[in-house]
Amino acid sequence: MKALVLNGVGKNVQHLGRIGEIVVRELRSLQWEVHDLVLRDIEIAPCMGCFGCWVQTPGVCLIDDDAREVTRKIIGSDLVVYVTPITFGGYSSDLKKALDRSIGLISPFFTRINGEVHHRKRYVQAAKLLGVGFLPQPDEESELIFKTLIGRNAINMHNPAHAACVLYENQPDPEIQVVLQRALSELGVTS
Amino acid sequence: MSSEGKRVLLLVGSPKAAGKSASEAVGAYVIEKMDQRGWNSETIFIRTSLQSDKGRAMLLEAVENAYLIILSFPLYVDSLPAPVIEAMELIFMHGLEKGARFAVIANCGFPEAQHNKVAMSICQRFAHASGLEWAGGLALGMGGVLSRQRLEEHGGMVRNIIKSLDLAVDALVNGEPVPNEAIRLMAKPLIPKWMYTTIGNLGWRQQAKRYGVRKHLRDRPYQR
Repeated sequence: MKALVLNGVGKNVQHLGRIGEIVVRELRSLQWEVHDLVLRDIEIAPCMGCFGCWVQTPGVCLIDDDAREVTRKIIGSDLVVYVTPITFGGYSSDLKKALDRSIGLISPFFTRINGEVHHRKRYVQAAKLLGVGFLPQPDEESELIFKTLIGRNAINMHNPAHAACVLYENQPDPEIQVVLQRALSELGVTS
Repeated sequence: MSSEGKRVLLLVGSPKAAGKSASEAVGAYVIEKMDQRGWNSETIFIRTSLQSDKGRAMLLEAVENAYLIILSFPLYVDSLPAPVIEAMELIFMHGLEKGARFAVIANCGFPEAQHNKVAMSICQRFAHASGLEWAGGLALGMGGVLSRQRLEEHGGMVRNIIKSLDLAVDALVNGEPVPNEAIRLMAKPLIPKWMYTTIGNLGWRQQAKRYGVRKHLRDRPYQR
């Protein structure tokens, strides 16, 4: 089974990179093949909002940079993990840049899901989604926004299952491991 | 209290070029109304401003000097476009000496305005973290139909948007938050939902035809 870790740790919070390392270690211990991408180290331009990936070169972004490979890896994985400092409740700009560029993975055509309009699937099967956010200290409001965002993304990107967990800066590694194991188990991610 | 001479800053969050986005059209309407009330306005396109150190410095200076900041943005993947988040990170890291008032206008391509809810919460959280005074937000669905540069050119279809923005301007110039009635009017569908999705689906086919890829709209180039 393949997992892709999209690590959105920006240059200002490098000391929190250990959380990405623990995520990778946990997945490898379950015998998963893990691809770990630190997004600040690769070249991804912001989405231009042109919809070229829908109507000009369907499924492929017009901008030829590393985001194309990230998109290919997202759909080629069984599990995608978003690792991010929780930024005003949402994702870091580094992670968001990669996600904005991945909308070619869904169809432009509309459909209804639970009475609400969304875009149709392009691919038969999307990956499961795990959101791993971290904060300097507990912040109920930001955590709720983050978990809601992961849930909304899972609807729009047609992820068959999703889970989200929040970790804190001073949490010891064993505690972090327990939280991650619980989230992975919730997703049915086992060895 | 006279608001004449106060500075209002419009931050356009769409990454599209000037004159091409619904975010700019809606924001420009507000700015025009505030200009008429004697406010001094400035407009900054976020994506462009982040491309150089000079642009970043100008963005921070404009934010520092504003009495009221209005962020108008499109919804991207349930949240704000990456450059807008980058600008928020920049402003937060920079630290503001005095907190301006901060209002937002979100638009999305889905027919339901409620899709903007998470993005609105993120904006509110940003304001709180950065010491800005949250003045409220308006959320708009069916943004895909606002293709013209000037909002008024869309005629009767945008009457509720215009009413909403007029109410919001009245409140903001008086130092009040965006009123509930403005929020309600902005969230009203511009056309029936079935019509919007039918026209939208047809529009994707027409655009694809223009590029000679109509039969490829459902392609799966990265299929494993």
